Amino acid sequence: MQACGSADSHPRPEIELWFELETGCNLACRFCYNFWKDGSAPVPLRSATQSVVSALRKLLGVVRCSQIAFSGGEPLLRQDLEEIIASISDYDVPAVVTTNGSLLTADRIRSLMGVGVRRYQVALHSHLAETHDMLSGGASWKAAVKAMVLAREAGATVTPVFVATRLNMGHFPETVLLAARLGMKRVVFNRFVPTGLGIRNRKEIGVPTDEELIPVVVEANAVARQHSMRIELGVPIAIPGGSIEGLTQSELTSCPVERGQRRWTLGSDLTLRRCNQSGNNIGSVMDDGLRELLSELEGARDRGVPHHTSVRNCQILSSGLVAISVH
Amino acid sequence: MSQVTNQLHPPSADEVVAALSSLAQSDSPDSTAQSVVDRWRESVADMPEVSKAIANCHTPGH
Repeated sequence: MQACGSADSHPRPEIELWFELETGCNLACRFCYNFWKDGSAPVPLRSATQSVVSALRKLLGVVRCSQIAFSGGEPLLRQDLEEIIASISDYDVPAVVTTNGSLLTADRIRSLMGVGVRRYQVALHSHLAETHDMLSGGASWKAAVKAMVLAREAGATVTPVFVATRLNMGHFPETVLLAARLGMKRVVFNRFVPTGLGIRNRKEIGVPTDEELIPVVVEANAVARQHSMRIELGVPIAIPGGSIEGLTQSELTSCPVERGQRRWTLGSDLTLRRCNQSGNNIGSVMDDGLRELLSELEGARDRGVPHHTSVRNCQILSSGLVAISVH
Repeated sequence: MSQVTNQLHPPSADEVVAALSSLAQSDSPDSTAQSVVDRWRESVADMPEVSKAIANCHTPGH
């Protein structure tokens, strides 16, 4: 057991990791944020099993990790996912698999359960199959809902993830209701941020404004309250005055990009990035990137953990630029 | 919701998906579909959600 080291005299800095393990995908979501999908950058190298294992063990040897979300692309395309997760089991880091659900069969759930996976995030962009399938670039609603049913039957915790474009944002309250019918306790609401394939499709699917999103969240909040659920806003929504009375079930969020940030993205090429929407990296986790990360986290610890009294906007949405930098 | 379901056993995953689809598309109550979902919910009601304990692990030995 190596990760839960609260007794350390000099505790390791803590991060939360979003690991884009697989670049490939069996769908083509119109809002997909993967930065290379707009054609402006080459597809990142897809690292082999042993390289991935070495990188994760090196990283987990020097930081505490509150959670690793295995994402992509579609992470279930990797047949070595279980081997990779098993190889870091001695660090006792909770693993979350973030998937479109189309490959999450009962057999795969059992296999992942065998290496300790108990949490899934499954894409669900509407209560209606045709809307979800249109945004996902392929028929996947039934598979996604079935995956959630099977994972729940296996005793796993499942959180649906909704990406809000102008085409489907009005479906969010009904989607929360669908999740309630499945007995789920949380739903993630991510507003569409136009990067990657989303840049190409932004006019077709639409980028909602804060003003358009607020009434949707308020209506969904009422559904969530009725079913004792929580709504996690994964991307900031700027609310006038910072709060809305009665928004009891929804958790506002801030852009996590800053010096000393806790949430980091690891690419399939094993480079570390501040923001999953941007291709800018600070270097490889095997050398310069890890040094930079540790230096920054140590500095942040000395200065104290940043504390925000209001929601900081997504830098991409507020600036219209894909580049993310921290000075 | 026209599927015939076995009242003695929990509905299959496919039956639950069909019921949820029916409920999502219907403007009026669909008691058959609701019954399928209710029986499924009862069958998984006692399933432990173990991830919270794992997610909250900050001390050695857990």
